[in-house]
Amino acid sequence: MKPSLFGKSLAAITLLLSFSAFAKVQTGFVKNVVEDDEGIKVILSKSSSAIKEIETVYLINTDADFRESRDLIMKAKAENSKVQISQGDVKVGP
Amino acid sequence: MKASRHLLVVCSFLTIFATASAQDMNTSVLQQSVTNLLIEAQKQGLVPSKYAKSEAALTGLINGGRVPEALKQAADLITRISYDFASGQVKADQLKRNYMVPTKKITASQTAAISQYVNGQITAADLIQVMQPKNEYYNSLVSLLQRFQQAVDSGQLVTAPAKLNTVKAGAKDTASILYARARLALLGYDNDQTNPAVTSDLTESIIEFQADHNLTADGALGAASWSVLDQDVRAVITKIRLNIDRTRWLPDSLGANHVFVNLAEQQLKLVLNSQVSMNFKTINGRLDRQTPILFDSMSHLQLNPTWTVPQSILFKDKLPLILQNPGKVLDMNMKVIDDVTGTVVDPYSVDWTQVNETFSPYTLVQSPGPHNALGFVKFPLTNPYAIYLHDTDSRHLFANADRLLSSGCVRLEKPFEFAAQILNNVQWTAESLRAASEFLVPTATASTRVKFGRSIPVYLFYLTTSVNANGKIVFSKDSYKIDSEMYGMFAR
Repeated sequence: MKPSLFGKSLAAITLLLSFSAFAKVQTGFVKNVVEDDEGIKVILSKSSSAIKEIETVYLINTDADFRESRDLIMKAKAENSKVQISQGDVKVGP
Repeated sequence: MKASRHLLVVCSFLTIFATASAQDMNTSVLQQSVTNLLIEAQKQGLVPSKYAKSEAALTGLINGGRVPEALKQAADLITRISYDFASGQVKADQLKRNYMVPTKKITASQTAAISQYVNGQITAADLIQVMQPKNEYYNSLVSLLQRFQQAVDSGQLVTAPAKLNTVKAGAKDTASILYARARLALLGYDNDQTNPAVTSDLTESIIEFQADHNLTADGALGAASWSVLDQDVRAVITKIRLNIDRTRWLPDSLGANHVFVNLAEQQLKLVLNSQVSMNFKTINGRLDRQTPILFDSMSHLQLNPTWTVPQSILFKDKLPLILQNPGKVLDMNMKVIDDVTGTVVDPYSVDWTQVNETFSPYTLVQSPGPHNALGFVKFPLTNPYAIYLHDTDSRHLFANADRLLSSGCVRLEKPFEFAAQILNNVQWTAESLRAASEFLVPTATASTRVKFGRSIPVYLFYLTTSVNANGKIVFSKDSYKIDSEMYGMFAR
């Protein structure tokens, strides 16, 4: 992740990060992040306002880009931005 | 900042020499200044071969009569050697791991000293003195290196006999006995090196050596003990150099109060008011969940912590049981939290057959108690990797010689005594902490937080060769293969 990729609005950002655990693309708004000793579980909802079609994604804290990924997801949660997570990349945006 | 200081040094160097004509320039002085610096730095563990290509390039420029480029190359090289000497030839972030080690900053006085050296105003020894790390681990390892190097250079190392026999009371193999005495003395275990018999001084040294190295301390030097004691001295020197390089990452002062965990040795040292307050065993991350090297801090403890069950354990161990009987959750003193609402839900109300890796909106949280995986006390740190120090409900594991068993956190052998020392034994003692946690268990719904009133630096570090509190050398296994990885980087 390169800090220079951050724009004025998070909605306009696309960041590429590396996750190795999940091949399936999962998209949604970050409703919660639960931390345990081995990583974080991200609770995604299809709707920004309602809790709908919940999915979960787990990010392992020994992955190379974990710290940057975690920061990005926490920011998306705070800003109620949509994220897309799949093997090899995370995209944040509309 | 680093780049601009580097540029400053280069510019300063070029300015000085620009006043002389290129033809007047004695290029041998250039090379000599680099060589002298490497000779001095090597005495403190720097590996000169890492600069061989740059040195060759410098020689090429000089031989080709390209004096201005040679000047720049020399200044660059001197700066690079100086920076590496101060902050590490290999940096933590170059290793293939998640490390949280701040890059060491080069001070203004160090930058000035580099300029002075390239200008010929100070000697290589002067520059080394300014650049050298000042922390105690660095100093002790450099002394060790010099002791071993001197032993090699003197040519007086006792050669190992063709066969190493067990050395214990009553043993008769004088060659093995004299060799054992010499090797123990080299590691700091004093004994009469001229005595060809096994006497009490030797037995005591063997026992101390064995205890320091997690070997059976029976005073009999057998195969297991020989494998540690009879290491090739040149390999030991290489190992010391690798460890010295890591100590360059440490700050000059670790703080009058700090916690130092040597992950390789699986030991914790608590330093209070610049004195070692206590040492005890730790359990660290297993090989596939290695505890990272990191510099962090702690400012409070939690009595009766809850434990959030990691997802891997949920799917591997807990879910199969819960699918058979959701009541198992209660048997394990756990609660089910709905991750969306944050509320506790009845385990019988959840359709566990729907729970999988992409749909797992429930978290199992273990309540405080004697069977909590974190034990009775947790010492949170600030890092993003969920690495912290804690008690354990499996204290029997501290009896193991090899204790790489955790998911990355550091389990403490003496958590209550550790907490009481940090809390000055005033408001809390080990006994009152223990009593408070046990008293709270039946009714505890939330853990109790006790602030230290100060932030204590915590260093999770990795030294496979170290000097213990008694001045003896302790070798630890390179379980995490960090020495191997760094060695590979020096070879490149």
